[in-house]
Amino acid sequence: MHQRGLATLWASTVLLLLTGLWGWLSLQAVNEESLRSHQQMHAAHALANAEALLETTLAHLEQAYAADSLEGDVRIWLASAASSCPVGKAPPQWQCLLWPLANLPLPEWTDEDTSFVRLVRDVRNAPHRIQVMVDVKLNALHPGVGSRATVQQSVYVPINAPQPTIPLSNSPLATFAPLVLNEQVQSVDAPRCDPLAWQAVFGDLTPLQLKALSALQLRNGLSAASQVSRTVYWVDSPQLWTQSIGTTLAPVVLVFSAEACATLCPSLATSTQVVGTVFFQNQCQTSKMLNWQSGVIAGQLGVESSLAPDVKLALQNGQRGLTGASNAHAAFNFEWPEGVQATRVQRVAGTWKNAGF
Amino acid sequence: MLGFNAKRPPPIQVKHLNAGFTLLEAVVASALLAYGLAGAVRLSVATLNATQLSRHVDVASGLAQDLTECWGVQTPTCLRMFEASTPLYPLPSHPDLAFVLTWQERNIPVAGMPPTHLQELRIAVTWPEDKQPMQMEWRHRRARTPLWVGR
Repeated sequence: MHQRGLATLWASTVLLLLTGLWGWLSLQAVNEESLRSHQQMHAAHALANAEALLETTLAHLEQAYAADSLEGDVRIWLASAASSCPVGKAPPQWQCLLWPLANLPLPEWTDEDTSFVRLVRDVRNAPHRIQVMVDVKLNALHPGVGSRATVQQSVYVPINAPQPTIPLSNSPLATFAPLVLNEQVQSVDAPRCDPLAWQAVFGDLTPLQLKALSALQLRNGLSAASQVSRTVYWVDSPQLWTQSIGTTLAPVVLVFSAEACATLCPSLATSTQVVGTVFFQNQCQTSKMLNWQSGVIAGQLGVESSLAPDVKLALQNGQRGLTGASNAHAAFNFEWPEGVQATRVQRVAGTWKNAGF
Repeated sequence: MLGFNAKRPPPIQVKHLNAGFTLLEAVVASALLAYGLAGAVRLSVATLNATQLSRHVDVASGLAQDLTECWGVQTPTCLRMFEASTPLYPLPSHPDLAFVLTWQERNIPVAGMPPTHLQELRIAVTWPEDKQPMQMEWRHRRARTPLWVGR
């Protein structure tokens, strides 16, 4: 009873301490909640910025491919480098590029030094499909400095064209006609050659596009000997072709251009084997195919003229090493959506995502 | 010890002098407790304000993102959102708290392309917070690159 006053003081002090502790904990909880809310907002701002930069990149990609898509393609990818590739996507199959941000109107609050736009494509299987990866960090002008977001989207670019489906069959196992000729008789008055054989073999794919694809593969380091082999060969030289190329799993396309056929088209050496498609741009002149020696072609042979009757018959009967194959067009049959108009840059449906590479 | 006339010492007298001190202690204790409770109340008020601010920021973000997502979408709901900048009252618990969205659409020039090829939408959301105006800004861009072009 004598210590009643001290006990009251002691109890009050304890209560005070407990109340203070409770208040402090409450304040901490609210601070944490407030911080979370702000961080969420900053993350949302970073994501909006990344989306804005992605849209800006798409707009500029479209501009680059608008006038001359092939020339634009070369210009854009001049700065490609192996060091720009993400893990698991290395040359020579993949081509990668870090787009210089100084050339883009950056969205506000984007930190130019730590943000980047990366373009990646598979030069062999899908050179017309570019994956755009954007990684953005907010700069010091934004309260959420350092907040980061990543978005990516793929686009089709008009550097090749979809293949027509095989007439009378949609089956991928259908065999192509082994021999495609242009039987058009040239008028003496108007010596114009309609590239009917080219259209029959390549559809809407133009010679310039195929030539550019060949140059692209070569520039990126693809060859017959590389681990992932080259599939498109455009030849301007009139010399005899002596290299065996293509396999059943990786057929090729070999085109002897009008330049190679300027005098006489080159021929395949007897011992060479080509798996895929071989085409001669001999400008409707059968006489340019007199040099023909034959080799072994497993796939399809296209000639922009007729052939000497005996050669034609022998080839059709498979007596001169020509056999058909179901995947003869695999080297240039690039994946496009059904019914698409492949003449401008367009987004690939279902490829937008905001996470990882 | 024998023969020693030992005197008993006088008994110690204990005086109860702490009767007034108890009252003083109680007063001090009460004061301390009152001070502590006042602090706790202030903390609670601060907590409430901070939570409220977070909620309002979330609401403002949501409204801005909602407007962003509606940009260019030709549905009646979305078109109506871009008709005029009217105050919105999204919080049933604060029916008089108005969030005002204002926006500005601008073209970002891309050489050789139509003016509307790349556009930016700038959104500002303002609302009163403790009688002080608060503002949040939002940016969004859109390229005209199509998703699919058919024959």
